[in-house]
Amino acid sequence: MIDLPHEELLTGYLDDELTPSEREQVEELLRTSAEARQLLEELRAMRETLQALPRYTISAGQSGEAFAQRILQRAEREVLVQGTAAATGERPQTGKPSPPAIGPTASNTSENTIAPNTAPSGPGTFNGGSNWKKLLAAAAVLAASITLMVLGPAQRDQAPHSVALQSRQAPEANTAIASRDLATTNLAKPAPEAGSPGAAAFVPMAVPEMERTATPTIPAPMTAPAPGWPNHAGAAPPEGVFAPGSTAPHQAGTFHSRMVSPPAAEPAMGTFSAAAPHADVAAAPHLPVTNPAPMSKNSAAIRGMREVPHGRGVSPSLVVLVQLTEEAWQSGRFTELLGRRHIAWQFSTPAADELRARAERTESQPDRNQSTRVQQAGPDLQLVYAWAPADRMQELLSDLQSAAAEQKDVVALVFAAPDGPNDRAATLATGDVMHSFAEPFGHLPRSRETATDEIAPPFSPLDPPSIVAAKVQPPAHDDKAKGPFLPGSSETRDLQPDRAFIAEARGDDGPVERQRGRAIRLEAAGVETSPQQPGRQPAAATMAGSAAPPQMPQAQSVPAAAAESLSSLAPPDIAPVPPSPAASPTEPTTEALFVIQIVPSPGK
Amino acid sequence: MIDDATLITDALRGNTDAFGQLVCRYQDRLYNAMVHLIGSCDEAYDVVQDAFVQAFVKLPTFEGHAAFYTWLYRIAFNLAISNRRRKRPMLSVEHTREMTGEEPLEMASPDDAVQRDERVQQVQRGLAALSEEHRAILIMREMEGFSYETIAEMLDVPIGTVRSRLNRARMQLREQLKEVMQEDVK
Repeated sequence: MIDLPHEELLTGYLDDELTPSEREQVEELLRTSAEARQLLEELRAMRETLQALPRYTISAGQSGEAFAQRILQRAEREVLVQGTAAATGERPQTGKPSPPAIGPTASNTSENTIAPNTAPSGPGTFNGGSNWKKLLAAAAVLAASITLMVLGPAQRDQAPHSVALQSRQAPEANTAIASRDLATTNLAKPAPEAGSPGAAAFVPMAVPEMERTATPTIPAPMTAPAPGWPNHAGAAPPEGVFAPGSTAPHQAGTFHSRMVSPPAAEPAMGTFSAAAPHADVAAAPHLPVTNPAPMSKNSAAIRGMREVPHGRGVSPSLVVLVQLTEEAWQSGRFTELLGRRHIAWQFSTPAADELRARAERTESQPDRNQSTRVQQAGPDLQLVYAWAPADRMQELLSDLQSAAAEQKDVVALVFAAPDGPNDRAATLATGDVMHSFAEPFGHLPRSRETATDEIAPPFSPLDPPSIVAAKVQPPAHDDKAKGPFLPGSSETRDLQPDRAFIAEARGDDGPVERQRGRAIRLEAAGVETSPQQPGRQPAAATMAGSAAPPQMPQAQSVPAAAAESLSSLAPPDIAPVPPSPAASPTEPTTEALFVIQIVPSPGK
Repeated sequence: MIDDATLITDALRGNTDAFGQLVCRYQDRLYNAMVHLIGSCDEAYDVVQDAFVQAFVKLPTFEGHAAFYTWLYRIAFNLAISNRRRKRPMLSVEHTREMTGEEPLEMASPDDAVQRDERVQQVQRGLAALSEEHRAILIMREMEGFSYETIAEMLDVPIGTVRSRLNRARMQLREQLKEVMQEDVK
């Protein structure tokens, strides 16, 4: 048994932190004691294990610059607050370091050394008297703050000077700005009481608009909340569990991302784990998960704490038409499925807004057909915008496809893609989708102008080639093009955008050149429209009435589970499949627009 | 690459982008350390944000006796300890879950992940089971590679205490990980 002093010496030896004499002592011990050698080996192995622990990175879901930018914005506000407080001499603590340098000069006179937590800031720092000068100064600071916000980063170097100049007599600035920050972010991060251990560390959170909120938020529904909305919270369903956090500005000004609490049956944010799917399945008896999705390495991004790097919120690469039973929708099983697949989603999108605006426009028009279309796109038609790495989207489509085969929650399903690389294509194509629904759900596809095997360019840079093979499909079943899209089937289709609407949206009165429709092939979903693929069930056959689920070409998709009925739960001992190749932080995000028609359950 | 001292000087002269470069340089390293220390990705994220903000605010007080990262780490460490004391009741649940149920952001490959998953979880559980001071000192030494002297300065304890505390931490973790260690030694 090695005594404690020798243990410590071994620790120091391992760390190369011994004096020469101590080192000699240890080396002598190692020569004579097998136990000491064994212990040293164990300590070395333990060190290697610790050092080999996977690394967490803060920039997995966002660029490092984005995080730094956020830090600087917060820091500048903090400096502003502290600077104004210092100017008024109301800083409660002496020895507080001077504000940092936002400006040409820097105070470097403080005698503090490393004293990270000696300077509380935040609510409670100021006394906030009723002096009218203070009130005026506070107003000035607020105005200056707004100016700073408006000026933006490009003007950062100039703005703080003017702000500081105006706010010299603004003792309430701290409280005012901190309050504004809290109000803006809804973080409701409680300020520790003065003197409490956390007081020194407390900094009022000032999170940019695109960041998360902790308070569940019920979004305004796209349309009047009528029969279609699920009843999670007794109101319209919440937006996606995950914050989209697009790094690119959204093109429509109405889009605001929020992270809200998931539906009741969905696991709480950040709680997804390898064991979670079983509980989830138990909570939602339908919409099976055929492949319990393991957390991938960019899970943090999906959880919403980081930004989805490529989400743009305006250009889905997929449009998925789903006939969903009213019961499945209202009980929130569809959104639960998205949650279980770690797929970010939301209800309100620029595309949806544009569609709604279009509907409102056409509603007032005397055109009977247009009016019919609008009416059909009423409360029983919902749009859900979702985005996730390609593998998750594949898994979701597989789930839906197997559900469609069973005709329980999902009655029918169509995968489609917008035609053309235009960012607005999805929005425009959606008009086509709605038109198809309006007549009713069954007049897809329209006639195509495809005749070759020409490989078309990808729809957009966001399209992961593993999912979308932009390929001109031969007219495999034009003879059935007018036939109904039968329940219990799924199909891959192309969509031709409404060219007239394109012209209208672009403000282009000239003729619009027609383009050939381009179909997509969703290999993961096993849907194959091309008759040149022997051995696979052509979608035309499915459309003709076969309820048999399409073959799932991907072995890792748990075929047994894929064939299961919607109503059967995934068995608790279902073997988790090997995780899909983990997405890199830069993996493109697949964006999909789910056009959901709420229909009665089959047999009702 | 511009060294830290130059960036700090530039930042003190009003060049906020220089501080931004410091953020980019150290954000991942600091975040990783805080995740292991706190056991919660979410809280670590907040702590790292707050630490950088505080570092920016207090930059004029940085005298350069220690490396910038050491100074920054101490800020984050103190914030983490303060937050942890404030939120202890909540952490016990989240801590366990996140330390054992959530995969990290960087893995060598899916196969490696499968093979290492159990051991990683054991190590993380073992770390989580340590006392706060033992976990902290292990992270400082084993993951961050701080010298005894630096650790002593950060924790405001004598160097001898660092060695004895580190030894106790290792022995405790060794007990926790005996199974894992035996596999490694074989």
